[in-house]
Amino acid sequence: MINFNLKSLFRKSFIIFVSVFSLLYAACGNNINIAGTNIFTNPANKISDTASDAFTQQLYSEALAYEPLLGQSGTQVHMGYWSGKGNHGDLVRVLDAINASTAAAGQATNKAIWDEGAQTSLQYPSYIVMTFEHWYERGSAVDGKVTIFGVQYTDPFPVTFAQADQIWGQYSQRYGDTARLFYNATGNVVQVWCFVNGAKANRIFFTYEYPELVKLEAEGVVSVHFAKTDLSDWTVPSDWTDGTANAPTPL
Amino acid sequence: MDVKHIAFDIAFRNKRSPLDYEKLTDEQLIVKIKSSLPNASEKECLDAITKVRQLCNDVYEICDAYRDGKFGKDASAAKAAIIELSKKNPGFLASEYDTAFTTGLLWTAF
Repeated sequence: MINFNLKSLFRKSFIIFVSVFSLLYAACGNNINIAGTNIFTNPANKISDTASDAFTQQLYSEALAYEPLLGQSGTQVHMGYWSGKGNHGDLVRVLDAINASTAAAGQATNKAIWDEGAQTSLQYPSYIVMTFEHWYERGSAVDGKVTIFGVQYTDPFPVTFAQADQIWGQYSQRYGDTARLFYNATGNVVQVWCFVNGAKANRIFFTYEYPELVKLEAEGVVSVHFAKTDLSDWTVPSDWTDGTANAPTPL
Repeated sequence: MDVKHIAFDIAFRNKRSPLDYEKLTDEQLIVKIKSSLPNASEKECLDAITKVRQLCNDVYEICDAYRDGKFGKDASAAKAAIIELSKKNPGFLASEYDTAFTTGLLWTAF
């Protein structure tokens, strides 16, 4: 058992290393400068990339590299969303509970993901690259200088704050769009769990993710559930409000 | 690295939220700090944890205000927000206020 886990850990670490390296290598032809682990990607290119179907496919492939069952017929895929102070951890709790659940005989295997990765501890290479790109550090440069962990840089491709929001917003939309691919592969409607009580109207969930969920719901790809409280349990239907039409009112 | 810097990094290094500070007790955070700095006293750890917990709250408040345009809309707005954060919770390095502010922009993005 220990050997199996070590092998699995090694395999996943190798996947992360190779995938991040490959993405960096690919990005080198895409107007970027690399300083240590900071990546100064041209924001116009990133906006174009994160708007594309190819980016959705990339996220889907990265999820399957971690967990092949996500693309297997019969698997029940769950996707998580959060917005607002305190809600990040509540979603982690539910996703971990789903992934720790054991399917009864004859029932679908449950697998949960979120925009950071497959399971809450395995981050997609594309997500890791997003963090290395430091969009908000770059989008709030002071006197033309970007400060990243105490070191100042001159950004070769200056970023506006609106671009930083757009890039993260589009990244999240493409994560949402992976639901179609999971639905097609598994044959099961994707279950979506949202912790968004207290979320603000002008942030990424309600401006980018929620409209995408409305579309996916209308297509019959997802079934959307909103947590009533911080402690909502995915196995207790009365803990949730169902349907995008019944989303909590944003602040 | 001293205790306060380690406590700071637990909250602010490449994080989408101050998850450890939201989910772990003071005792669990002390264990986490001591894994990096075994000789740190419990009082030092607790003082640092209390200070960083407050900074996390302050960062949410300042970054929300920044996003709502309360520091203005021009290039000086970020600088003004960082200065306000340092006045609200003094005692960290200038570079830490920069990091806390930009990390908070990601926390409040979603």
